[in-house]
Amino acid sequence: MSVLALPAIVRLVPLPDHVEDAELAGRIAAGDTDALRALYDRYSSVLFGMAYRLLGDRQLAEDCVQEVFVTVWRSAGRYDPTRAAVTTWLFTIVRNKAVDALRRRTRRRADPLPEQWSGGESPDAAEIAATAEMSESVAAALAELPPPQLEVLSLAYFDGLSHSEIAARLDVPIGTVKGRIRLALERLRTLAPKYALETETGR
Amino acid sequence: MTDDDRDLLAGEALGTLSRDDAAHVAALVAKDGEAAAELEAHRVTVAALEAGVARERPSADLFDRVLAEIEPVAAVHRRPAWRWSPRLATAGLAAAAAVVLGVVVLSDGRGEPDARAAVAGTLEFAGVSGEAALYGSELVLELENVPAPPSGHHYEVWVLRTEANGAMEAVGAFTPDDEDARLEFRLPGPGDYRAVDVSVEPDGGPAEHSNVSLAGGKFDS
Repeated sequence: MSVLALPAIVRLVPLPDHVEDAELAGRIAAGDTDALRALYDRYSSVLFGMAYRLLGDRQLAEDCVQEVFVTVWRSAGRYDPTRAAVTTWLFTIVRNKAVDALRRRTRRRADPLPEQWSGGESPDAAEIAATAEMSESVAAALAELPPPQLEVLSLAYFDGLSHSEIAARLDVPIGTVKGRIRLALERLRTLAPKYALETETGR
Repeated sequence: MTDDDRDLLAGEALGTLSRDDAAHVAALVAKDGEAAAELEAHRVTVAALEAGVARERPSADLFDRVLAEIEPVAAVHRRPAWRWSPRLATAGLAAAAAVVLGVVVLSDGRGEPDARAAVAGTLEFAGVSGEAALYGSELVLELENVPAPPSGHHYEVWVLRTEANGAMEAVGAFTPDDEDARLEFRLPGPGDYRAVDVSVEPDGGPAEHSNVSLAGGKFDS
């Protein structure tokens, strides 16, 4: 048995504009909360979107994302970039924690189920797994976008900002924002077969 | 169709256009089949996104809550957070036959717990160790050397209290992300808690204890 190593909070040199995920993980392992903040800013929306899709409950989804980043803080020293990408690590953690939260609800029968598990029927393991798999696939596809495209798409998709609002937020020309959004959607379309994303609108 | 038109079609699919731009796109797709097809393709992509990732954003203060949770731990770490106790402990409820090599003492800034339990793995999971602590209405469980559960299974945490007349009560499930786990659960109610147990449960299985335990321990009084 070994003593659990928890990083003490330290301040390292300021982060440059873009740091690779694996380097952020290394800095987090060294106790750099700025690196944790950078990783949070980069992926919290996607992780929250995954948790919310599975749990259907804002509070539970926030609790789940909170647990994810606390886990990242405590476990970053054991993260091995040669085994999996940081995004794979994050998506696995959020999937596990969201599924656990859902199991807690289904096993405590007095708790109401989230809306998407409608009709009061407890979702079976296959349903939960299928929803979790879909969330992971979409998140993995998003993670393949170049960071500038992911950034503008996130502001449009999760924040609902307009082109002009995104341009003002990022201090870039509006034409750049429009182009990055289009390129992001086109890139996701090409990734759809790889990640078995749904290709019907259901309309 | 210009490049700017193509950019606007993507924005329309996401619903982020200004009113004027949306009107321009509506006129464009009404007269241009290629534009209509491209808009539909973008809408399919957005629908795929929505199927897997909700179009929601967490509260602005969520990261502050993360910091609030890790900062006390980090502060304690400097003292440090985990200490080894030389005393040997008896194995827990479901782990009576397990050999306990040491006891990890919890100390995470909450103050002294109401009760502690040394947690040890059952014979099959003898490498598992840790400690459980009761803080008011919460159970904090820290485990080390937790193996990944078998395929199609997960772990469930149970407590036993005098008031439940011998019935184990489930407080939560978990799937470890790592071999070390720190878990917090809300207790089912006030009472005289006697033991904690971690079971191996099939996914989607019945609500009852599977009778297969990973680890367990008895609370001191």
